[in-house]
Amino acid sequence: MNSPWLTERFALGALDYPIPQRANRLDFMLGALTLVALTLLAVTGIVLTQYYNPAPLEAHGSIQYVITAQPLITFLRDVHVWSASGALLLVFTHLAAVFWRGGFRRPREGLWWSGVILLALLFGLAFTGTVLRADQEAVEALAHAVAGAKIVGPLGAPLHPGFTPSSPSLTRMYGLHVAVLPIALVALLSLHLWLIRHLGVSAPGDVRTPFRTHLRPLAGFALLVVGLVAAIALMSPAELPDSLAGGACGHEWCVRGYAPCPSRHRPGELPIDCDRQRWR
Amino acid sequence: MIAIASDGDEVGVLDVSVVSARPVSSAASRHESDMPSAVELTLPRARNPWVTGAAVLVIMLSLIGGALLLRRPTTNTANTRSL
Repeated sequence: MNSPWLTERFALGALDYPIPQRANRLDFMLGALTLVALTLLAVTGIVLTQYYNPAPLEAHGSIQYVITAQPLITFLRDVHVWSASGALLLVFTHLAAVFWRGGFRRPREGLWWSGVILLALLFGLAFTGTVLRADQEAVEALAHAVAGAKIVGPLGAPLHPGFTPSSPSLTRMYGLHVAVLPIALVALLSLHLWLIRHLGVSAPGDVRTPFRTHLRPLAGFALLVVGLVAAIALMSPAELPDSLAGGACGHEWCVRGYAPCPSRHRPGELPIDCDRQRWR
Repeated sequence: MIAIASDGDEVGVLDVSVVSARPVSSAASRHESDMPSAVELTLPRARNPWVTGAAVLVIMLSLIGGALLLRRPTTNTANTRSL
C-alpha cells in the first residue's frame, strides 16, 4: 500500500485522513466486521440463488438437493447460515458499544438511527431467509408474522397471503430476500458510511493517526471472522427441518396452542393450503 | 368409575383405562424442543474430500493470516500526531 505508483493511480492518499488512535481497537471495528459478515452473506447468497427454486412446491426439495448432492454448495450454504448469525451477533455488539460510548448524541443522531434501521433490515433478511427454507419452521415464522401483520393493518398488508393473489407468499419472500431488502441495505449502508467518514467516530482523546494504519488490524480481525465462520460451518453444518409434509395443518403443535392453528383461520388467510398440505 | 347418588344408589358407570403413562404437558412445561420444527431431517450430506480439504485450507490460512496481521503493532508512531 506504500507504492507511489499505486498511490498515484488509485488515489490511495485519500486514506490518510486522520482518525482517533483509539479507533484501532476491536470495539471500534465491530461495524466494519459486520460489513465483512454481510459481504460473506452476499457472496454465498449469490451462489445459492443459482440452486434455490422459489416455487413453493420445489423450494424445500431444491435445498435437499444441495445438501445431498452438492458438497461445495452445501458448505457455502452452511457459511451463509453461520454468517447471518455472526452478522446479527456483531451488529448487536456494535450497537451496544456505540450506545455505551454515547454515539447517539449530537451531531451523530443520523448515524445512530441509520444504524438502528440497518438492524431492522437485517432482521427482515433473517426472517425472509428462514421462510425461504419452506419447512415447518418457515410456516411457524410466517404464521406469527401474518398474525402480527394483521395487528398493524395496512402496513402489514405485504405479508398477507392475499396481497397479490397471482403470486405465492414464498415467491414474494424470495423477492424481498434477494432484491428489495439488500438494495435498501446497501443504500442505507452507504449513508451510514458517508456519515462515519464526515462526522467521525465518537472516540475520546486527541491523538490522531492516519486511517491507513487502521486497515492492518481491520484486515486481521476480518480474516479471523472469515476463518471462524468457515470453521463453525464445517464443524456444525446447518440442518434442515422437515417440510410441510409433517403437517402444520392439524398437527398437535397447532392444537396445543403454540400459535394460531391454520384450520381456525378463514380460507386464504394463511400461506398454506391445508387441504393440499402445501404452500399457497 | 362408579357414580353413587347421595342415597347410595348407583347412578352411573364409566370404564376408564390408562393408555399412556406420559403426563399431559401443561402450558408451563412447553418447550421449543416439543415443536415439530425441532425435528430435523436426517439427510445423507454430500461430502467431497477436495471440498473439505479446500475448506480446511481456507480456514487455516484465514486464521493464521489474521493472527499475523494482528501480531504487529497496530499504530505507526511516526504517523501518529497530536492535533
